[in-house]
Amino acid sequence: MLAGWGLFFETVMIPVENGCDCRDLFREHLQVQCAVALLDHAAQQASAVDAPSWVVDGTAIPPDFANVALAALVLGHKLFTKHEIGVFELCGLGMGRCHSCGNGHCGGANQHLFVKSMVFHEMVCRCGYGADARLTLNSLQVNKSMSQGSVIRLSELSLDAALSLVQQAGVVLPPPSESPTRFVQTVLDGLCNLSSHDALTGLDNRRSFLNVLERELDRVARSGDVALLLLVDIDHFKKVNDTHGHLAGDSVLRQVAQRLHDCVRPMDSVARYGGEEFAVVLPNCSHSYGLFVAERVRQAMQARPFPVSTHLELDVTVSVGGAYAPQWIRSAPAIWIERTDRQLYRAKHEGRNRVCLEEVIDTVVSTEEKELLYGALNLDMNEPHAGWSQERNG
Amino acid sequence: MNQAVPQSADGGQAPKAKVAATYVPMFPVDPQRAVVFAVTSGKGGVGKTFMSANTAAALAKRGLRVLVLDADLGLANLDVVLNLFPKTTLHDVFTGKATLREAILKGPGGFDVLLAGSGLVEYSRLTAEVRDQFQSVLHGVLLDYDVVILDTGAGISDVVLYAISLADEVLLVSTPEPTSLTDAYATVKVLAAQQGRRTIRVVINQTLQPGEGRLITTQLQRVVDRFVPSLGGGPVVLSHIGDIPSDTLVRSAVQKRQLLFTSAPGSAPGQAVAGVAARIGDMVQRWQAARRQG
Repeated sequence: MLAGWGLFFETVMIPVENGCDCRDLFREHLQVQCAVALLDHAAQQASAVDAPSWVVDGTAIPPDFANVALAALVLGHKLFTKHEIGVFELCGLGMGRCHSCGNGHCGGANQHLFVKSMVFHEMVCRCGYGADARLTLNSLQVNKSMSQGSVIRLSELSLDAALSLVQQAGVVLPPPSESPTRFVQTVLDGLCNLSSHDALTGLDNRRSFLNVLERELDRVARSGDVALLLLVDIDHFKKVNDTHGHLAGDSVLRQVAQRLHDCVRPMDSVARYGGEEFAVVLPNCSHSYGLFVAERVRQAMQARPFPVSTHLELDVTVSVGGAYAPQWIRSAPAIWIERTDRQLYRAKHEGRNRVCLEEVIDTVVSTEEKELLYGALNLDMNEPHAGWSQERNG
Repeated sequence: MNQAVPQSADGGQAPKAKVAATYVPMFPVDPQRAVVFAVTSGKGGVGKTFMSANTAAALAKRGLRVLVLDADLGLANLDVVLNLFPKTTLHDVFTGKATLREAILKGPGGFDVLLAGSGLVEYSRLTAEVRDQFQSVLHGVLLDYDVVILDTGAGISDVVLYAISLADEVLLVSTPEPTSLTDAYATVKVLAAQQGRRTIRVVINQTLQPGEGRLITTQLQRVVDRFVPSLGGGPVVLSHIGDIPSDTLVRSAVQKRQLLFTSAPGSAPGQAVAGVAARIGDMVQRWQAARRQG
């Protein structure tokens, strides 16, 4: 008997086209004669609750079971047609109690909601979906256009790997029996956090950094603001690893991350971009200030040695490359990174422990340029001409 | 000839070069939409509006649907060149007094115009509002035309830069005069630095002898190669697409407020305009073909 009900409850959740009568659905696809019979019966009865018991296919069904089945049908109907109130009133369900967990459900002012809540509570308990009716209900509503029923059975999820990851990260999980929704949400939040941050340094990782970069480019294209991207690479980092071991290397990485974080504004984003490479996005950073910030980053590393153990301190320097986002223009993150990377390469090439920012082209035309421009053309150089300046608008 | 200056008739230069450039078109790639040209110069009075209007007439004669949009929001003078006395302008569209359709006028040369109205000081500085309005206006007309020409203002204000940033192609107009060349060169510098433009089309106006414009463009290219790194690296290419010879007919047409291309199509400058339009027509075809291929 129960297995039959289980089937019934599950099949209720198969979505169909709008406007389809759920009874047809059951008849055609599900062969749940008992449910159809119940609904038909309810249509004839003013109050289904009053019915002592019904006989379907030779089996007597207790009325509370019938209520559940009816309400499930009502709900199924609701999901696919929208006549739920009428059918519901026909069923005449009142106060109820979940037959599995014994929790009472009060209809209150919103009887409609009450029935859904009660029925689903019953359904999820009976079908072993867990005790959180709302989870089932919400997911059903959200996913009613999907081809599969959307009830999630916690026991069927392979959460072991996810759980060990988030627990290792120190996430405190609520007991799953209390609220499966909150439990799953906490696991998901924990995983999101893990997948957007770097495990070693705690900074944003490459993935979330690319997100930040993309958003910043959009913003700059909209506002015309100046934004600077810095790539910071630890000089001769391989030597640290090779000479003092990887633990020392890790310690250096963590400290560099911390110092980086400490010498930029809260609105700036610091990320670990690669092995020993960090990225900083500085919104609203003017041309005159950019070099100053980049230098501050470089000096913050050089300023004092990095203690990696009680006996060992290392001098670590960084090379910094930087480039500004093109103003008013929608550009792509890859291009911005490539330009910045070129400057970082230049800084490395020029001897490390230095800052190279992409030249902001001086729009004033120098005498040298002018001479080359029209000296060779034998044009009249004596003609007076005003020097071009950016302020001159026509 | 300098190798760095490509022949203007070279195939597929524009769309290919754009792929690698920093510049990403502001509008969705739709093969049906107009190719947007920005006509700019740096210095004022070198014939931007003359080029915009006459090229538009020549393109219209070639069967293209053309709109000239007065992007000189602060000091527009397209109406003067075309002898139009508009009742509605872009200003009315911006302020909601007129719809976009109402503000689009039929020009004398078989093309449409959208005039800005003169003396609108509040539009001479780019604000987010002006920018959004301008962009939505352009959005509103893109599907109705094959070519949209943005006649920008002189100088390199942020309004001009913004208008250019919306364009697929930049047409740089200069005369052989040192002042004009200097400003044209400065414009190239800014466009390369700020927008990552890699290809800029050059028209030299008021040339005195054949070949002068190509020579000048070659020289401009030399200086650019030496002094102008593009945003993101890579060469900045100036592509010479024509000269307009100096001719008293041009002056008299401007004074009579006539379109040279319609009043004297057989004249030397009239034919030169037709030549420039032919090259622009080719570019339009290449852009459309590139968009169809995705």
